[in-house]
Amino acid sequence: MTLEAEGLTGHVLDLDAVHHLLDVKSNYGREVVRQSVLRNTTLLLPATAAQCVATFRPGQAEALLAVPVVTIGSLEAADVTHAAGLGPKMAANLERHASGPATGTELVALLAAAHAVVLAEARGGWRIITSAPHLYDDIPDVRLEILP
Amino acid sequence: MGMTKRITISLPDDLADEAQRSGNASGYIADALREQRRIKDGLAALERLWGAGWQDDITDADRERANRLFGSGGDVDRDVA
Repeated sequence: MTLEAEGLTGHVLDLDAVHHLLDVKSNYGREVVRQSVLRNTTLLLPATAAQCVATFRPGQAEALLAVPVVTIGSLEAADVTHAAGLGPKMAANLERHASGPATGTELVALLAAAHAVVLAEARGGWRIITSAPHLYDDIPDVRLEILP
Repeated sequence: MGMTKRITISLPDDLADEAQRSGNASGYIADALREQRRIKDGLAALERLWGAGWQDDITDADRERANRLFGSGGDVDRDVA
């Protein structure tokens, strides 16, 4: 039985989406979170992204994680290799899009994006909410919701 | 379940019928109140995240697009009201 069949549905937030939400770059992003609360639908945050936000934006991270539908998705041992396997393709996507060498922040976002793909797959293809769709170019079976 | 307390309430006919049809009116109403509390707590958390008035600039277009994302042509605000 899939999680959807049990009524557990949701979306995965990648790191760029989290920054987008915290910086209020669009009201659509706020509306997605609002409807997630109203509909009791999970917003799954990869642990990699959560750690990054908690490190560099601790106050906002605490407020985000206090939203009842926001849940941290762990990276299980069995998935580490799969996530790592996505790295080279996503790194190439990043390189194509960036004007210069990847920054540390971009590399963390890449790791979180690979984690987001693994979490989405494990839940039967949940959509990944992102403002950096280029990271996912040519990654099979990924469904995106692109923030404006 | 914790302690319970018997109270008498009055409901509009349609809601009273709905509660009775559930077969457990008390449980039905308790679930509805819990759901209301869940939403209220969630929206309060969003106000702590984004500050007062955070919903003011959300447009109908934002709501409609989000409704589509959630696979519902319906209006969630009406559905949960």
